[in-house]
Amino acid sequence: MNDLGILVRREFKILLVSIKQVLAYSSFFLLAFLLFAFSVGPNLKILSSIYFPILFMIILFSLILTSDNFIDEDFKNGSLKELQFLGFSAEQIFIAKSLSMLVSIVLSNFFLIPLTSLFFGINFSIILNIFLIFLISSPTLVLLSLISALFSLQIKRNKFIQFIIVTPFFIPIIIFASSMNISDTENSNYVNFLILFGFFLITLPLSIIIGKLLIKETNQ
Amino acid sequence: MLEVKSIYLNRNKKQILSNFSLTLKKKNMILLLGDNGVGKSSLLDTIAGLIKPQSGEIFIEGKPLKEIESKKKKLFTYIPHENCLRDNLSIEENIRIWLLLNSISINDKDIFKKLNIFNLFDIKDQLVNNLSHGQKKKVTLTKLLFSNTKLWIMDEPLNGLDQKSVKVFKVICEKHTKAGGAILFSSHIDPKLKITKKITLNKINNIKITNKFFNKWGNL
Repeated sequence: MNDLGILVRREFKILLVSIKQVLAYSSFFLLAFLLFAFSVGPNLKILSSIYFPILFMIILFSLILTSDNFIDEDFKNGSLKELQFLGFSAEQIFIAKSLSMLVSIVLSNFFLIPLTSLFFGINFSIILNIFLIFLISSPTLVLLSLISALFSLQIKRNKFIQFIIVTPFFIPIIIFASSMNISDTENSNYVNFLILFGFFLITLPLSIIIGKLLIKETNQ
Repeated sequence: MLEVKSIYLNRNKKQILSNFSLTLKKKNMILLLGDNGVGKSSLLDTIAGLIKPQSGEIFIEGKPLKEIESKKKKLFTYIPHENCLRDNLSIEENIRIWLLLNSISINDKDIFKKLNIFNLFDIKDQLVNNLSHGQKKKVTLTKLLFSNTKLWIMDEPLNGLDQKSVKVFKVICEKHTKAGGAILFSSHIDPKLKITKKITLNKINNIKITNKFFNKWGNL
């Protein structure tokens, strides 16, 4: 088995036995949605009109807050150091972590998006559309939030600086994802899909390079 | 087996190693002694290739470290001072992950046999989170029993170990050196092991080397 395969297997093994990451993400996600629903009130018309932007904002904050779990423990217990000693490149470590985070986020949202859409009176027929938009934008969001978690290791856990450095990069994704017409089953979202995919193609190599540098820096 | 030639190392804008050299031959055991913060861990991290020195060279089995980056795990085993264990996994799961990362295939019977050397078999299903510091250290040292390499490098391996485990550790080390292996390890206290050479690291440029330092076994 190649090195990346071994690393991915390790990450999935950890993910399978530790539901902490999935629970932390899901609980924050649900709590934030409930708070929004209660603060807006029982008017389903208002609730359904703000559902999509709120969904992406909550996904973003849940990702930033839970991304630490994927990096922090390996850093604290020396596993990041051990992995590098064992000959796994920083790029491979970053990609393996991204994949495991992506799978955990996509799986959680597979249940969370339909569940939360019920609170906001969203028609069940357009949930698939929402999930597709989420699927195309989530890889970029995951890569950015992992970079943000690695930054937080470098800047001595100062979350404020972490937000300032990384959050602006999430904005284009949020704009293009939440501006899509979720009730449209035709092809009018095609351009936005391509833009989001383009963002992913730009983010992937850049985040691998930055992730590699940040992982290497943890040894210093 | 290991040769460190004129290493100069700076960390946090401070020089911690100046013109440091070391040679470790087969069947030898070298102890790095020194107070906290004198640079023992940094030196071992440098030998393991995790930190790049300002100048100087490291040779493993006669080959420069730079040339064997991807083959390091086949030439030597490095146990850093952190335990490198996932808290939410059991002892057995952690060992299996380490074996996977090292591409070592071994049957269950042998795994359990080796876990029993440090009396870990009965608690193999316990989560690492519930173990004491000493027990975690024992799990980390158990990794050595699975290693096929001749050279072992360990950072503070005796930290937190009880007297019985220290004796077990001594036996393992003696067996390894008798079989043609070599060991380099650090400690902030003199563990009274049967060592070939003791190197006392003090603050910069004050390195005292005692050759042929043979101690009697087990006063601990």
